Amino acid sequence: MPVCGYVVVPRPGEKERLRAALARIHECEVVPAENAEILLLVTSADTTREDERLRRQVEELPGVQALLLTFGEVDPDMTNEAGVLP
Amino acid sequence: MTVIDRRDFLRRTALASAAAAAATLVPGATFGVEWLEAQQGPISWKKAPCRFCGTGCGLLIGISEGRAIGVQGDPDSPVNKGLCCVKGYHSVQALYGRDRIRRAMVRRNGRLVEVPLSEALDVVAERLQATIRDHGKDAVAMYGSGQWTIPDGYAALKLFKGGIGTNNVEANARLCMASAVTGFMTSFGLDEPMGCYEDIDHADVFVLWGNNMAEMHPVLFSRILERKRLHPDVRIIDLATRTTRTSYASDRSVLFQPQTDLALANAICHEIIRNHWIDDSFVREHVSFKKGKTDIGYGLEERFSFADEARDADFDEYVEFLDDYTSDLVAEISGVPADEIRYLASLYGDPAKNVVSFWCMGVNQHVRGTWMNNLIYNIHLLVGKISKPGNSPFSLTGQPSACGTVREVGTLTHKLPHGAVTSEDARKMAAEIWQVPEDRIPDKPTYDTVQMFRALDRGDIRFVWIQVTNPMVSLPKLARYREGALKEDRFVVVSDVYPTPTTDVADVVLPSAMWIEREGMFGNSERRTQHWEKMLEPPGEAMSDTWQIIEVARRAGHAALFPWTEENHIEEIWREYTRFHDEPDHRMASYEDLRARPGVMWPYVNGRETRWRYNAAHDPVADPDLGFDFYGHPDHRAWIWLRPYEEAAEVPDDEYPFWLCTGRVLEHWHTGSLTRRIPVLHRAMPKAYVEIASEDARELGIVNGEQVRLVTRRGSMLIEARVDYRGQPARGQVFVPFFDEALLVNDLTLDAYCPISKQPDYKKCAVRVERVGRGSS
Amino acid sequence: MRGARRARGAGELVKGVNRPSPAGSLFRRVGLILLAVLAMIQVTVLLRPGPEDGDGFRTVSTVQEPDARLPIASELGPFRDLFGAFSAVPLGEKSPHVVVPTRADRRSRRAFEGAPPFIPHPLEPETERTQDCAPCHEFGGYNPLLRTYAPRAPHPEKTNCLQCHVRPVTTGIFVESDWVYVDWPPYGAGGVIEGSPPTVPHSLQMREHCLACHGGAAAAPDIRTPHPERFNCRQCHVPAPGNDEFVRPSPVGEGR
Repeated sequence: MPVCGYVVVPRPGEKERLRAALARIHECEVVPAENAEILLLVTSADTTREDERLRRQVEELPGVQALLLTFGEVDPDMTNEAGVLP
Repeated sequence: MTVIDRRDFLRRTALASAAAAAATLVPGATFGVEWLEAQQGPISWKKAPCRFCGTGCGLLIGISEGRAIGVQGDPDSPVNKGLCCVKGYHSVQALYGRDRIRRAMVRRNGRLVEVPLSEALDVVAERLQATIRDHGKDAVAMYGSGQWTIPDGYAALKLFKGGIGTNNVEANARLCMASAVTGFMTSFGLDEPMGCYEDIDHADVFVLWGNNMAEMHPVLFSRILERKRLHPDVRIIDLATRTTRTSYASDRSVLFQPQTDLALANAICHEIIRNHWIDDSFVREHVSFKKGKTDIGYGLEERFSFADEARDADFDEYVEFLDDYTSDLVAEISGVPADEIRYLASLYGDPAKNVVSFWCMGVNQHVRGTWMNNLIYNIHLLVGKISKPGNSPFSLTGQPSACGTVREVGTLTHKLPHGAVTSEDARKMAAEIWQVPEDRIPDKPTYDTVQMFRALDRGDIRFVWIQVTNPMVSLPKLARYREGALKEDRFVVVSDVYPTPTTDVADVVLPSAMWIEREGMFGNSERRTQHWEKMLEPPGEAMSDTWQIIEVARRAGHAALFPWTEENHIEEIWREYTRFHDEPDHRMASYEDLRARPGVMWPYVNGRETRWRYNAAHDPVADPDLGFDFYGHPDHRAWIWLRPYEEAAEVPDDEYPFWLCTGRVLEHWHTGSLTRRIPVLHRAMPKAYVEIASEDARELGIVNGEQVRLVTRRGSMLIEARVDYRGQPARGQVFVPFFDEALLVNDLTLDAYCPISKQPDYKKCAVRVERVGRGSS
Repeated sequence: MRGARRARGAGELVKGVNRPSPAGSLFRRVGLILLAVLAMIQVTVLLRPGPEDGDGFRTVSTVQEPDARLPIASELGPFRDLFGAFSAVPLGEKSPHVVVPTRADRRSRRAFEGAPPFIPHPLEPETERTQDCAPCHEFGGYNPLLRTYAPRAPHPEKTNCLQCHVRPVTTGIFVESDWVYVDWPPYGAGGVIEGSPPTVPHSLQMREHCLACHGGAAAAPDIRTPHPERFNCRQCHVPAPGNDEFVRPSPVGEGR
């Protein structure tokens, strides 16, 4: 279950519209800065492929100037409940 | 913190990460999310000894807004100098398991139901008195541990020996330290090591006798590695029955067959004498020779009893005795090549090298544990490498206050704070300090730990109060003692902080305040006493073990013994207790000194710690004319004992072809009731397993991760096999850690013990390994 | 690849930048750092001390100064192997999926701020016994297998690594915990006055080597120093002030 964190830099004047556009995407959680032209974005997808698609979708939004990945976790071997070393 | 699932956790982490990155882009950006921007109140850092092993690391506990929030190593502690291990760093998390016992519970109609604490204490006191009335005072018992603080143990001892008048006080340190005690007593006449950890900083050679220090005493092991890093000629020798992290970090790993360490130690002495590496003048002036009984049994018989007898011997007799232990003969039984034995002897024998020997459970949990201790002392005494900086035979302890409480306070059936119950002087002294009639304290010891639980099973003991220990996981041949505790008309009181298999058999459960939730002192392996203050409020109605004992004592008519208040009782107990040790050979620091310093080593005389006992250059009690003065014995000499090799109690045969060894792992401490509630430790070591040698696994068709069945004459269990994992047993041996209450390896172990120390041997019994096949469980 | 944590760099730009933006300036800064590093590697050769002299085998018959009284680690730390922190692959390394850990990563691997982190990558069973962590962590650097920068151990002289750093093999839990993670030191602790150098908000115990965490490619961007070429860190950054205020003792002759 890939979860990624981004800082989104909107094009000038596009912050609010971009926030709304991101909020409409189901897998996205968006937190706007109160005092700066910047947004925080967390995406969570079920598969790596889904994650790639989601990222492309966000990249292609017209209000995005830059997208900075700050965190990515696909939670791989940690889910091995058997307790056996991989 | 509310429970959040893994995805929520990741999302929060991702958001926090984005916020942190945003802050570097636009300093001062805020996001209106409370938890992202929460500020913390001030943090105070307070000193405490670690809650876990006997190393006694100094910690600094971060306290903020009534909660513990972190741990740092105490850079001022002479023990660990700021370094801890993963258990120590995370120790404060053991306070916050969700299932902490917050209320007292009493068993009614077969179920434990919560009751107010005062009501539970009433029940305990009534039952205690009723049992004494109906079955006599020797039908009630207290079973504590080396995790008891010094005031806990002192209060228990005073109530049972001074108040009730029974010697039925024992502690689980019998299972881990008793052979070390009897070893010290027989070789030197006084308990506890002559040297200290500072020996590490002066040694050239470290010999580890059956001691996986890298996992079990990691902070001290790191101190050894530091010594080696700074002095590359230092040599570390790992003498063991299986290959571990310690072996890999050592310069030499020497594997011997279980139980043959007895022969190996004698062979080293034989080589030392044969090569004239003996320190003639030291032996002539400071050593005498003794022999004891042989063929002494294994304590397996019901109501077993044994008393050794020291008979005089001399050097010639000793040399003759050692003729049976030539390197070539011992190589045959031990599997250690003769050249390797000669090399070991040469390390001990080289007058230019300082040698420290360390050991712990491999030597002490041994059906000849006392003998093994004697034999290692023999080596050091022959070459005069003892009581000098860097020359030290040193028995490590496994519990934070096995020394401080069990050995120094004397919470064992035969002991008083000063001396043994068999000594009239000791009884007189205790009666005077406690202000009780002299005949209150019986002059005969009653039951050692194994015998105590046998007595509970038989019905000779009807009431037992267990504090800070988990015998229903840790006793050998466990099934018998579990059934015994569950019998009708047996009353079991358990004081603990979490539910365990022991609280499962309890009739009353008392909620205990843990560690830094109360004031206390521990004493570590190197005679260092450490004090900590109360830093946190205990949860619910939890109460310190000391105060629980005092509350019950007051209800049972012994209020006069405990005339203290909740505020001053720790200080007052310390003042009263140290009156027992008011001689220069054991004088202890004042309460004020303990509060101010990160631990003080006794004997503490004229404001100075004694780092090397029996050495007149360091020990004010030793006679300067003698140079070395082993004043524990009437002849002022240390005793070399003629102790032979004898077989283990149960040896592998055709039906049970493997040796079964049990022990600990780095992540978990003892029965895991604390460490398993620390998330990172549980995640790193979620369950027990059996280590099998790769050749044996191949022969049996067992692969890594497969379930196998272990069968002994006592019981059987299904458990996962590990091949070439953290430890690698030698062929014909398997190893199982004992921390896992779901996989009770002690249902399989044997309750054979050292007849002198009464300490069981958890390291050797015979087991069969059966392949079950994959997928079954 | 066997399930290493996969994440991507904080500095990695997913979409092109058309005009100077905060992200762009970050990159320029990184470029400058890189130049400074390259310039200094020349100097390294000259400044690095020779191999430590073994002091040979010695016997101790009287009490000598114990080892602990060696140079004070917290003072020595910042200067240890001065430029080693930069021997890692430069930050500009073009790799599509490079983990650059953030403060949040740090947090997710620790029970509390200052706790030893657990090991986030698989361990060979053999490493369980040999503890041979130094090849990756003594100097740090890019690890192509895990597609990440191995962080540099701030205390490479400690070799019983698994004593403090353990490898989780499950996400399960024995009993839920009511432990609370408290952020301390407060993130972004700045200088005492506006514009002054930030104070050191944490203990220096085993963190004497500042650049192991605050310099080099494996450093989290949010705690990475903007001036790694200034290696005498504690010239400007002093331990965080306590609450005590200086009070002058009574003038000589006054008090009792």
